[in-house]
Order: sequence, then structure tokens, then C-alpha cells
Amino acid sequence: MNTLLSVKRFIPSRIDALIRKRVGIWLEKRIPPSEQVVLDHRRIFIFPTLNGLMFLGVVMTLFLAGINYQNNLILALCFLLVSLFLNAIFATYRNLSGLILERAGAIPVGAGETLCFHIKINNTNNTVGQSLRLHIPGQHTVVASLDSSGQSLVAIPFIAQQRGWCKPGRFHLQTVYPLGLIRSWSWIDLQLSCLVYPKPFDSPRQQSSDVGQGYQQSTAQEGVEDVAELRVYRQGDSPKHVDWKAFAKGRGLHTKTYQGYSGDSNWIDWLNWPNINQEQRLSAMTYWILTYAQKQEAFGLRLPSSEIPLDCGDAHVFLALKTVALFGCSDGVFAKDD
Amino acid sequence: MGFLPKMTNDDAVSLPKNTLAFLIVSHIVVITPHISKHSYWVISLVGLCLVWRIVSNMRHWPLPGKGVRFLLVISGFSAVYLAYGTVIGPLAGVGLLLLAYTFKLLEAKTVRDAHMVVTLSYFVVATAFLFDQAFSKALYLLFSCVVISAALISINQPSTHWKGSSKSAFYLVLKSLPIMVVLFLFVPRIEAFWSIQFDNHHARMGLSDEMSPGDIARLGENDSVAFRAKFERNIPLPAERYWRALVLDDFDGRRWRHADRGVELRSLSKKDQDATKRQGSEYNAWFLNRRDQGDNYFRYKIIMEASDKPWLFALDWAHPLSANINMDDGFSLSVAKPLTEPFVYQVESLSSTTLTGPPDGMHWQYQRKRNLKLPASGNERSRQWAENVRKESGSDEAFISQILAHFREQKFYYTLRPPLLGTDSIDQFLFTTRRGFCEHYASTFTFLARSVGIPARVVVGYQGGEQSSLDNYLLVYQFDAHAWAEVWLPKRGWVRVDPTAAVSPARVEKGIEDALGDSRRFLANSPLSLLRYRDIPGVRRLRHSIDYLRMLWIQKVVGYNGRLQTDLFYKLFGSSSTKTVMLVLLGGLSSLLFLIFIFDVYSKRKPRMPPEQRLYLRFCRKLSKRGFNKGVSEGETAFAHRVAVNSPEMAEGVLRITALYVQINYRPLDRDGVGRKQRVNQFRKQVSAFSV
Repeated sequence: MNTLLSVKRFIPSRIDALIRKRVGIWLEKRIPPSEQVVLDHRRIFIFPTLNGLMFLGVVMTLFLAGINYQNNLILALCFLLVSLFLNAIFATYRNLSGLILERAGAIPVGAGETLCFHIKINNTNNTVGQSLRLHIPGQHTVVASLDSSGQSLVAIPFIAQQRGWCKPGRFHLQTVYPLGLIRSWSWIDLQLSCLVYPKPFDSPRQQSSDVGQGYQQSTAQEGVEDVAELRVYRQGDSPKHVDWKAFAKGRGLHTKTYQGYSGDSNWIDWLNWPNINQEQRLSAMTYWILTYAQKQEAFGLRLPSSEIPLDCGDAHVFLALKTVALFGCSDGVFAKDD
Repeated sequence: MGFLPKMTNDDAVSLPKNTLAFLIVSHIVVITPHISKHSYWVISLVGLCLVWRIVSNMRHWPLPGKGVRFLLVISGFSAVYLAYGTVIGPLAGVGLLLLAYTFKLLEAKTVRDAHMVVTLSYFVVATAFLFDQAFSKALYLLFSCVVISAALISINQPSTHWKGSSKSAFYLVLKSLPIMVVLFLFVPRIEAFWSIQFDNHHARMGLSDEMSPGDIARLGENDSVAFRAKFERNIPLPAERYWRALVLDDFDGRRWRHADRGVELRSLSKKDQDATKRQGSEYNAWFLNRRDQGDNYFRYKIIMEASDKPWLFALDWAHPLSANINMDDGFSLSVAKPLTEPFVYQVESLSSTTLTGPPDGMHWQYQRKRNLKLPASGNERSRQWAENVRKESGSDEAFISQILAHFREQKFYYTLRPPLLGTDSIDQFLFTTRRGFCEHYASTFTFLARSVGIPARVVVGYQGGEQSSLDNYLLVYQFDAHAWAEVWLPKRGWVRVDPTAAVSPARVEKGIEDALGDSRRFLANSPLSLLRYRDIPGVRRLRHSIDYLRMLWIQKVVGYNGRLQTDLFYKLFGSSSTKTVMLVLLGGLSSLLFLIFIFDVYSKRKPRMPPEQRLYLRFCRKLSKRGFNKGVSEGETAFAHRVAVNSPEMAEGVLRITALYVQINYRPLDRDGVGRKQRVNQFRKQVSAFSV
């Protein structure tokens, strides 16, 4: 198919951009962004593939041969192929028609990693849904065949390059099943979005005096079971830190917090990295957030614009990551990745 | 992002193993009908490449490199050149196509290559029709289309089991047939305004335009159908069934030939040439006059097999109703080109027995000369003998009866295996061997007639025909080939004389099988021929049915043309204007497509439940009659216990059946599933026997 579209190379880039913009606006109207899209005749486009055009070439040649040699069976074969082609149009259309696509979330990753946008595809009874190929422009393709009915979950890969909200926009769903002669496709905008936090990177942490001491202390105290206080268990607390003895005595679930972790030592501070630029700082901060999260330690976050107090648990980690990821973008949205 | 999909390199993906297997199978299927048509050079190269591909795939050899591929192409061209002496022309072209197709398969690496192979294979399928348009061939090629389509599906859905692809392909082709029929019937048949002719000769058995002793006897062994004659009303009697093909009027002492008309015509004056050309219209006028005066005539259609010869067959005296059929001065019909395909035409014939002959041009000296010409010498004894008989008999008519009586009364025999004759073959036959097939008698009689000054000639064609038990038509076989004589008598014109009938009246009355007497001698070399068992009524009917289908095929499918299409339009829609054609085509297509669409939408693909699950549901339905309904989250065993507690009289059966179901579903013991099948059967029996 590349060869067919290589014509594009001869179109000046400005005109190409203009066409793309126009088509984009048109698509926006025709298939408006929505969390759920039902594929119907308005949303499915269909056109022969290069193989399909080659096939039509064969059909044409057979027709001429049949007329020339007055050979009815060659003509009949030619008509059979025409008929197969027409049926293939239906079959390929039916392969998409009636699918209901729904956004199903994505797990945030660091910049540079592959994130997966999950799409829930509901296969209504009379849709075939075989050999579907999904991809976001410029990204890898995923091939999926649906079960005969019911729901399937498909993950569309995306390599996130930049921190912030990743909104890839429309993705492309296409199929050439069954004969590979016809391609039906759609551009679907499920308003996909996923948080991408800065790429974790360990930069040497320069200690301001108080912060530094706290940090040193905390490392020194590692492994020491010096429980400072018990607080009521919150979801996301590590099972390691649950006071199981108390639980066994019937006093309910409590989480142990330790002396060392509650001090200033676990503050991840913007000022810890005075010599590197903003993005590198954010990367370093992400690294430490993840480190503490992995060790199930409490930590706090200090940015020029905001501060998150010491805490632990999944919600806290997520908030910290989100703050780091969105630092410096007023509307919380970065440009798309392409 | 643009409207057109941005192309990823989907087509460059390498081929899955499943797909390759499909390609190889479809290759074998597609090549098979070509094997007998091509020389060993080409076929063995194709076979070699195929084996190579299979083995290299099993052993994980690398695909052939550039050098090897170049060598292959060179050897392909040389194989074709060795086989056909050329690399252009249809047969060589098809040979090259086969090789190209095979080489492409050999080097197929990506999905795009596979598509290429499939596209080529449709071509190869089509070329098989260039050589043969038989019904069986068409069926086989339809099957090939299913296999090819299955290969296509497997390219685009590589994970599926081959059965799945085959099934989808089968339904796809099945769904395509109605549209194909509509297109076939209603797409206007354009006459080719160009024409590339295809020299499709491969020696077929049949009559030829010359005859030496033994030629027609050779056809006596051939049980293929030469043509069929479908009569509108009554069928002529057996003795009237003389199908003229052409006249042989040039004798060289041993061989009879169809004289070259061109040479004779050129020697005529301009006026005479024009008069000769008018002969055709004179004949037509005479024919129509006789027919309108109420003479008995037959109207019939001839459905003939490909003969590779231009001439046609008809009863005397014939008048062609189809266009583009010529008649020569021997009253035989022909078309311009040799018939490499089955051919259908319509003829009327006057019943010949009571007629004086049609205008025959015998007033021209050159015609007389041609029909009296004999070699200057040879067969002296026969000439002498004929002279004597003529003197004794007194008139030409009496002479003819005398000769026929001689054949009838002396010890002449009618046989398929006459002794070989040397020079002076007429003398030898007439006085020594006296055993001959029809050509011996016709040839000898014509010789004798000419030697006493009666214009005479040999006519070859077929005599006889078997009436089909299915329809009002005659089947004429190759072994019905016959030769007889024609003499020209003043006031009567050309008169048919069949000396064979004098020797063996059964040949004309009943056919060659009876004339030969011993049925074991008939078709002795083809023990599988159904004709040998023609006395068994079932076999006879079967044979006729097969031929009837073939006749319909030739008439309705192979012979379908622009004229028949126009007729069909008139019959169905009362008009054949462009507007009607377009309306019918569009209407037919769109309604069919709509039907297919509706069918697709409403034929919901319900996933079929495994049998034990269906049986269990049936069991549950039975229980629900008694008011026991299984809860959604209730386990099978728990449900069974509930039923057992509440109605102890059913407890035994319910518990037993449930236990079996649980065992089948959750404890599959055998890996091969044999025991499972038996258990499911047992389960089925128990559920059926269970009553509430």
C-alpha cells in the first residue's frame, strides 16, 4: 500500500498539511470524539487494497480474454471473481459494522515507556470482528480477533515521549479480512488520555543541611523497628506495616509508622538539585517518589508552587506523581506526541 | 493523521506456516488439470520447484538467492522452448505462466508475495478453460476457486485452523454464485472488435477430408459422441439417417480426397465463375419451393462436439438456418474456421427419398470431368469387369442394381478388421479378399461407376444414431462414421447408393453393433465403455442422462452467446434495448446484494454450545416442569441435592445424571477425548430416558 500512497511525496508539504487539517475538521464532525463509539455506516470507510486493485486487474484481463476467445467459462470465472469481490466488500464491512468501542483506561507510565490504552470492544452478534488491526498514528499496530460474541479487551500501544497528559487523539482501526482485497477502516476518538510522568532518573541529590541530615538518619535507621505511632489503617498501606499482633488481639487494623520516616529526611525537595534544569529535576524527583513508594515509606514533596505533606499509600504516590507530571503546564495538557 | 489510512508495512510481514501450506495445496490443485496438456519438461520443472519449496520449508533452508532464481528463469524458458519450439503462442504462454506461478511460490516470503501467488493462480485456473470447457472441468475449477479463496483467507487470518478458512471460503464462493449467474446471463456479450486467434489443435479423432482403406474402420472403435441432433417433431427412420459431412471426388488409385475447388474455378471463364457463385441462391430457391409445396421436411438442431474441422453434419438435402454457414457444390455444410469448441446450429432437411435432386451444376463440363476422373491406369481387371456388366445390363440404373446384387449375392463380408490391401486395391478387394468396411464398398462402387461413365463420388459422414431415452434427440457416435456413394443420373440428379447396405442391411437398419454380429467384437478395446453394456436398461439410461447433461451444458452454457442473450431478454422482459439491459443488470445485482446483506445480518452466528451443555439445559427444562429452577449462582451439585431432598422419588436419577455431567465437565480424564465422547453419549441416553 505504501507505493499507492507514495503520490503524497509529490504533494508540497503545505498543501498536504492543509488537506490533513481539512480532513481532520471533517472527521471531527463525522465521528465526533466520545467515550463510546458504535461503528456504523457513517463511521466506516471502505476502499480496495492494492491487492484488491491487482485482483480487479486480473478480472479485467479475464473479461477481455473471454470476449476474445468467445470462451464462456473464462467469462463465467471472471464473473465469479467479480461476485467474490462484491461479497468481500460486504464481508469486510460486516467485520467492523456494529462493533461498540469503549474507553477502558490505561496505566500511567514514565516518559519513554510504552503505555497501553485499553479499549473494550463489544461484539454484537452479527459482527465478525476478525483480524482487526489497531494503531495510533506513528505507533505499533496491534492485531486482535474478537470472540464470536461478548466483550474483548484490546490494548493499543503508545510510546509516550513527554510527561503530562498523553492524549493521542484518534486511533486507526482497520481490517482486510476475509480476502485482503478490501480494506475497511475508521478513525476513532475515544478521548483516550493517560498520565505520563517524567522519566525516572537518579541524579545525585545535593542535601541542604537539614534535609540532608534527615536523609542520613533515615538510611541509618533502616531495619530498625522503632514504631513512633499507630494510626488507623488506610487502603493502600503496606501489609508489612500493619500491626498484625494488635489485629490478632481484636483491636482492629492499624498501621505502624516509624520514627525515621516522619521527619524532614523524606522530603523530596525541588532545592535538592540546584544544578540541573527543570525537566531533569522532575525526573530525579520521580525517581525518588518511586523509590519511596517501592519501599513503602512515607515521603513529602516540595515544589516551587506547591507542597504535599508527608504521607504514604497509593493515593499519595499517585498525587505526587501527578503533581510532578503536570508541573509547569497551566492547563495540564501537553501537546500530542506526534 | 489523514483520512486515508497511513500505511504500515502490513504486507511485508512474513508468511505464517499455515498459509504456506495452503498455498502449496492450492498450487497442486490448480496445476493438476494442466498436467496432461503440457510436456514433461515443464511439468517436471514445476514439480521440482514444488518439492524444493516443501522440503526447504521442513528443513528450514533459506529461500533461493538471486543467482539461483536467475538460473531457474533461464531453465524455465529453455524448458518451454524445448517443449514447444517457441516461447510465444498460447500453449507456450500457458507453460510460462505455470512456471512463473511456481517460481513465485518458491520465493514467496511475505504476505504480499502470497497475494501475488494467489492472483496468478486465478489466471492459471482460467487458462485451463482454453483447452476444455467440459462440465466436469468447470466443477473442478469451481473447487479450485474455493481452495484458492481459502488460501486468501488464511493469509489474512493466519491464526485460524484450515477447516475454518475452508468453510468460510466455501460459503463465500457459494454466496457468490447467484451474482455470477446474473452477470453471466445479462452482461452484454460484446463482439470482439479485435481478435487474437488461438491455435488450439490437438489431434482429435474424427472424420478427415481424405479416405484410404481402413481410415473409417479405425473410428469404429471410438465410442465418443460426434454430435447430437435434436428434432422439433418427428425423427427420421434409421435407414434415412445419412448425415452428410463432405464429398470426396478425387481418386488417386488408393486414396479419395476432397478436390480442390479453387483450381477448377480459376480455369473457368468470368461468366461461368459468376454462374457458379449463383448456385447457392438457386439451391435455396429450390429448397424453399419444395418445402412450401408440402414436401416432408425435418427441422432440427445439431449440438456437435469440437472436431477441429470446419465441416458440419446434416441430413440430405439440407438448408442451414443459423448464420455464417456455407454450402459447397457437394451440398455439404461448413463454417469458416475449424471448430475447436462445441458448436450448435440449426438446419432443415427435406426428406430425400422421393425427390429429384437439387440444381447441381452438372451441366458444366468441369463438374462432369471431376466426377468421372480416374487414374490413367491401375485396377485394370475391375475396369474390364465393369465394362462387361454395363454391356450386359443395358442402362445405368440396371448397371447399379447389378453391382449391388453382386455385392449382395457373392461372398462379401462386412468387417471392422479387413485384410490389408496393396496396390490395385480395388481389384484385390473385388476379386480376392472380399472383406471390407464401408469405405471399401463405397470406394469400389464409385470406381466401377466412374469406369463406365456414370458420374459418381464418395460421401463421408455418419450413418445412424441412437435415440436418447430422455428427449427427442439422436446421439451419433464416432463409430457411426460411414462412407457411401452418390451417382448422378440424368433427370434425377445425384442419387445416393449405399453398397454397404447391400452387403449388410443391418448396418443401416440397426447400426454397427448389430451389423458386426458379435457384441464382443464391438468396442473390444474399451472394456470400460458404458456402450458395451447398452443392453442393460439402467446403464443405458445412465449413459443417456450423462449425455443429456452434457448437451444442455454445451447448449446453454458453452454455447451461450449474444443471440441467445437477446432471445432471453425478449422472453423475460419483452425487449433487449440498452435501457432494459441496464435496468435488468442493476436491478438483479442490487436485489441480490440486498438479499445477501439481509441474509448476513440475520444469520446470527450463535456460538454452538458443547453437546453436554445443551443436554444439561434440556435436563433442567425437564426439571422446571416440576417447579425446580436452577438458580444463577447455584452449583449443579447443590441444585441436584435440593431437588433430591424435595422430591425423593427423582433423587436417584437426578443425582446420577448430575454426577455424570460434573464428571464430564470438570474431570476430563482422557487426553485424547475418546472416553469423553462415550460419556457424553451415555449422558445423552440418560437425559433422554429421564422423565419427571
